[in-house]
Amino acid sequence: MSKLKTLQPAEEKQEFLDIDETASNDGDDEQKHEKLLNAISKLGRNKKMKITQRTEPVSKINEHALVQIGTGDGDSKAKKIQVDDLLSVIAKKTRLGALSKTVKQAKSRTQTLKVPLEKPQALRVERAAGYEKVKDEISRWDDTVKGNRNAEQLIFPLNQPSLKMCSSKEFTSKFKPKTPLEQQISELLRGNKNVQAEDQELTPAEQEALTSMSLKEALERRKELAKSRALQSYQEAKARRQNKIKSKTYHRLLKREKMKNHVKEFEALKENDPEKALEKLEQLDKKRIEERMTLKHKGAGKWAKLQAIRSKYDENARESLADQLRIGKEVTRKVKKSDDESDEDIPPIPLEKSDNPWLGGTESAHPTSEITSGYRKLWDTVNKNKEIKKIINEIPIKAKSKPKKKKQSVDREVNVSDLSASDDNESITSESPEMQEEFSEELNEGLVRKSTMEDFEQRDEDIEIDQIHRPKKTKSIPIEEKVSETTKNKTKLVTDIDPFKFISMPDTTIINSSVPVTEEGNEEEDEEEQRRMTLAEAFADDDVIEQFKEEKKRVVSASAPKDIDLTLPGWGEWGGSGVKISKRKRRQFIIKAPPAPKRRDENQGNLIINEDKNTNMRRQQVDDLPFPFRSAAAFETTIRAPVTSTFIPETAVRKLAAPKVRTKIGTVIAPMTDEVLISTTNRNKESADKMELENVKKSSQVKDKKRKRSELTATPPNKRKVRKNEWKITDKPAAKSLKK
Amino acid sequence: LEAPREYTRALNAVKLERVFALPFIGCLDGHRDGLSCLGKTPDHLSWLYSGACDGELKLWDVAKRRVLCTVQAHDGFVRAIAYSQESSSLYTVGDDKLIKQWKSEAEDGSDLKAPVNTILTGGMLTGISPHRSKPILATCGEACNLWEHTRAQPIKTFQWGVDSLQSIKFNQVEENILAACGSDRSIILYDMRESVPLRKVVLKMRSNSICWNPMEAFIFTVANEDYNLYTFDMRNLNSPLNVHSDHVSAVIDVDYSPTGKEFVSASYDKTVRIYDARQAHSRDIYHTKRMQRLTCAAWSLDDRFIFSGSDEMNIRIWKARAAEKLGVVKPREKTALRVNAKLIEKFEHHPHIKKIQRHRHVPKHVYNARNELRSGRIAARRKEFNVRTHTKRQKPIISEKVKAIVSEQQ
Repeated sequence: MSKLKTLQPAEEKQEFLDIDETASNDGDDEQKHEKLLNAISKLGRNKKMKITQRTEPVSKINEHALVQIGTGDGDSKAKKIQVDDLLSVIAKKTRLGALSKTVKQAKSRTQTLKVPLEKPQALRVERAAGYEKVKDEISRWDDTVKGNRNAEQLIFPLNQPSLKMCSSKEFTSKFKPKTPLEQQISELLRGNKNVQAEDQELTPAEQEALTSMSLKEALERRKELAKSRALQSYQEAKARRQNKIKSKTYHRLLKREKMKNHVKEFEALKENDPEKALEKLEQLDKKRIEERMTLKHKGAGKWAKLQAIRSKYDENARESLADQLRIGKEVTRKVKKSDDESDEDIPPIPLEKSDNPWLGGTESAHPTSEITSGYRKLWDTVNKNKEIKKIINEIPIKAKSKPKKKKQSVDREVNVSDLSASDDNESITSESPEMQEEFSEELNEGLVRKSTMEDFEQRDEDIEIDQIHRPKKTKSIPIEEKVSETTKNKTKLVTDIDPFKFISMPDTTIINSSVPVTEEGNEEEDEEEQRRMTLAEAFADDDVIEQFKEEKKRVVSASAPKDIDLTLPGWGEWGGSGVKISKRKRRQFIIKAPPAPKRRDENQGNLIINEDKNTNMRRQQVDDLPFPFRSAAAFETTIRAPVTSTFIPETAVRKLAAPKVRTKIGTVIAPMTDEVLISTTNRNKESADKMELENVKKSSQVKDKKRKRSELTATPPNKRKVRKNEWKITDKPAAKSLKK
Repeated sequence: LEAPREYTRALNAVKLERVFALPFIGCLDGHRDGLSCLGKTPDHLSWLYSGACDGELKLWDVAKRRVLCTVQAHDGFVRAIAYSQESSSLYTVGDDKLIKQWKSEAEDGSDLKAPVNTILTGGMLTGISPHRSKPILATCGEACNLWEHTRAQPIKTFQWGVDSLQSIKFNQVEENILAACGSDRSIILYDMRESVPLRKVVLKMRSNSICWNPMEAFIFTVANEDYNLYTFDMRNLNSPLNVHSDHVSAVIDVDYSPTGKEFVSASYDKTVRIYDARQAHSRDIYHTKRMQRLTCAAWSLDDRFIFSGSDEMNIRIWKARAAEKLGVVKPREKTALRVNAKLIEKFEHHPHIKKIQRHRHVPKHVYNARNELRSGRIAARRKEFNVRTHTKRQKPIISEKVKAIVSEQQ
């Protein structure tokens, strides 16, 4: 054994050297590898496998009986040749470096295969895989199915050949010249200018002739163009220059001029084109509205504040400020009917907190009294005059009627102006004919606005005079005066806004100024007033409460039973036309309605309960929103849209009433086929492609066909024929209709 | 003001529709035992094959309402009939474990006298379905077998579990897929190209019959023993798309209309019902006094008629749409009918019209059974509600659709 041990490496070396030589000679790796393997096997041959001999004959050789070399005892173990040993030899040769690498890799990768799965588990995996595959495959029908489900109309059988009428234009467009004569003609026609195009009236040559112009004309035209261009550039330069001017006065002037122009334009339009004028007016109005929205003339600006400070000393500043405020007021004023406007250009200044009609807290002891308009007032005073006259005439009766009248007058006193009231009192007390004159004066005077200090002073003087006249009432008058003053103001405001429609709100701002303040004097007051104005204006058109009340009244009156009047004029009476029906008769023929049943919403001011809803009607109506609809409105529109020919044209009816599914009688509807998946356009393209491909790949197709034939051995020859028949069935009716 | 006038018209239209709703056309009698199966052929619209429980096979000319040919096909039941357009021949399976191929091309049906091919099989057979474009047959019984008609042995066998199958159908659109109903209450899907079945879904009760939608490749409907029909999307078997209720006894057979929009079901409660494929409740119910328990139903291939076979040896022909006029319809009449249909559709949600449109007289036993079932359902619902309200740890709410499914196995 030891001998062998020593010998072995030498032999190995020998062998490998040989291999190297051959390798260098041939350079053929495979051969080398073979030789290497041979050499290795030879090595093995030297140490023969020890086989334990057995005497008994055995059919199978026991694997345990075989003993591998190197496993026998300790010494031989060391002798076992490892791949590394071989590699160490190879490593010296640079050319075989790659080989050693691959061997190493192979060695590192040595892993035993995993144990195969249990059969049921394996089947499950296979089934799952198959199912996923089929799922993917069958999903290609998704779009088709969805399309068919959502289709407006489906006509079965689905795969009908598309037959359509071909217009002559389409037909001629397909024409291609084939014969040499045709080709020659088409070539002649193609480039020619004298050939008329399809959509145009003139040939290109004709058009050219029309559009061309003479030299003179062209020169003229050019001159004109040059002139206009020059003018344009001048204008542009001018505009640029003007834009750069910073002078305010200039711009003001410019603006004024523009305004004037506008007005002029408007005037001109008024005469010529009323519609456009209206538009213009609207535009101007819009501008005004925009102005109202801004804070431009509200005296809130920096300039205005400065002016306010200056105004104490500077006359000009005061003036300009007043001017601005005036503009602001003009702009923010609510536009009313023209007749009112004349005597109230400037809205009155509310002086006390109670005069905002929207804050219905403090005042309104007699809310009705505030409605009285100027007209009403006038009427009252006139009436009173008459009364006074009467009184004067009938002095003896006066004493009797006095208390009653006084009562009346007291009522009115609060209602109307102080003047009339005081006069009334006067008339009772003094009974002088002078009073009549005074009345007339008062009438003429109307309602005088006090906007300046002088006015107020004068007023005081008046009062003083009054006091002189009537020493009895001296104390009461000034207060009355004030109250009446405020009421007067109120009445003026009220002409615009109905004080009944108020929403009660807590009073937050209380300006209790007993001394009347003028407009010019206080800036804050002015702002306050502005605020009130805006509030009043905001709700000017908003009479929801009143509307509701009216509606409720209407509903209640509609539901209440009514008297039936059966009187006939002249029935059972002597006389001709114009005979008055006697009360007795009327009473006799009127069927009195029973008293209205108590309504459930009687004492609930802000509620209307509809008591006469029709349950029978309800039964015929749809309860819930039907399935495909998302909103009640959509459903209602579908119900509202008519579908019958009484309301819409016959063609529309046909279109609407087209059934969702149409089938042809006596036609077999075959199940869906793959052809449906390929749209007609694609199919056409494919067929063209196929034609080309067929020429190229004829040989390969022949092969395919052969394979197919081998697969489908039992394909009956009439399969094709059957398919054709199927088509025939579907084609027939269409063809017939074409013939018709 | 159009709406009220049109409402009145719609009301008249719906009433007229009910007046003209006479669906029964006629019956084909001649069998000497109960019907077991029906077969249609796309080559002849008016032909109808029928198999009886005594093994007799008849070919009918429906238009003329007479028998073209009669032949003793099998010993015992004729279990299933299927016509293959691919080979233009008829296949029948019977209780005698034979698959028979019949040529049926002659106009007078005279070549149906003897089978051209007979395959002896080892096991019991209950159903057969031919591939649409390949000469391959699928039969079911103890297992699902695929046959090529030139061979005596099946080319492939699919077995999943040990239970037998009672109905099998090839998908007509995606041609390699087929589905079968098993007596272990399962529905199994197969792919012809695979070596193993694809998937199985187990319902609470057994499905008697299966039918693929001919227009929607992945949709199929099964007729179940629990009085319902279930429509599935093949790709999502853990919940049916729709549960079609209304029958009051086991549903025996189901067949889709060729448009794929509706299907007809034959039930053990002696009624035929027609369902919109996407609605839960039936559109119409057909019944006659003498019609006994139904065994098979078929929808004609021109989408106009329905055939039903029942225990009392008759095949009945019905109109697919009860109020449809059969004769010549002139253009004006056609427009009028369409407008009426449109009007009814427009106002169908209004209670009065809906009531008239949906109201059907049903046999007393159906009426009573329906009431009974309804009360049962109400009681169950009430109980569930009570249980829910009085338990601390609540169970999740399971939809009615999912309740029918026991498990999906892969």
